[in-house]
Amino acid sequence: MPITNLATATTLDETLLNQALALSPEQKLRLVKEVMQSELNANANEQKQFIETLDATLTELRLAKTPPPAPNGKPPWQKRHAKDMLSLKWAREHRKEYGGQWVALDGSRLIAATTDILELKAAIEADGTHLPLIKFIEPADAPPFLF
Amino acid sequence: MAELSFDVVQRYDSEDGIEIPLLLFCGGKETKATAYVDCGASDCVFSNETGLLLGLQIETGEPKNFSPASGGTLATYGHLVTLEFYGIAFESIVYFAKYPGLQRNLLGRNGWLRKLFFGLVESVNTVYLSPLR
Repeated sequence: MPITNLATATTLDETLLNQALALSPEQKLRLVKEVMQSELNANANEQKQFIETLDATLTELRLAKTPPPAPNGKPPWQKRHAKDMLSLKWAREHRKEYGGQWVALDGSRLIAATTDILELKAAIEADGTHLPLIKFIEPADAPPFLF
Repeated sequence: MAELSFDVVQRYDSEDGIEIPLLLFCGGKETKATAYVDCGASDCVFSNETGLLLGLQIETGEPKNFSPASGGTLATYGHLVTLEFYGIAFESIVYFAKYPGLQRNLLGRNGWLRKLFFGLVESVNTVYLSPLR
């Protein structure tokens, strides 16, 4: 490509980029969806590069949005983890009663137990607990697991 | 002697495997589940039920069949989700079973182990983790 055309192309790229950055959140979302749809139709090599770049960008975004440590210096995940450990302990202790069922637990409080996952989802919504731990309790007499 | 340092040291219950509580995020939805570390699994394979709780249209994902050690074939669909555990978060392709009934979610090499520095001392039920930087 001649230098003048290359310069024109670069200017055009910049113009398009600036226009894209100036879009409303809804328009940006639509643009992202369109680009992703187009990439889904691309060949495998191009797609791989796109997915890797997207993966890295999303991870960066997500980490940037990770909340700062709580004022007491203990990160929020450690508090969540302490509650999750109570849930796992409860699940171990109640394996005989609830083996073969899905359970939703808020710490050591049982929200619901059922074999029907949609029923469990409805029970969680009715209870109103945010992000309970959901786990399948393997039957107490089940042989050791091997995938 | 080689020395390693990790951001996170956690003990786990040794009764039935290395079970890790984790949050899954995808498309603005989230759910909390548990998954087992499985160095013998090539990828992260989660139950159909976990995918439904995350609000996924499972069969819209990338199809992939797995051959479990116990024989047969496990049909799955891959989705890009965010996994968060012990304060570590990253995006991964997780394969969700086509059919209900998979009793455990598995954290395999691709999508999990390869995104971490991971240490294990099974005799004292302890895992050591840092995100890959």
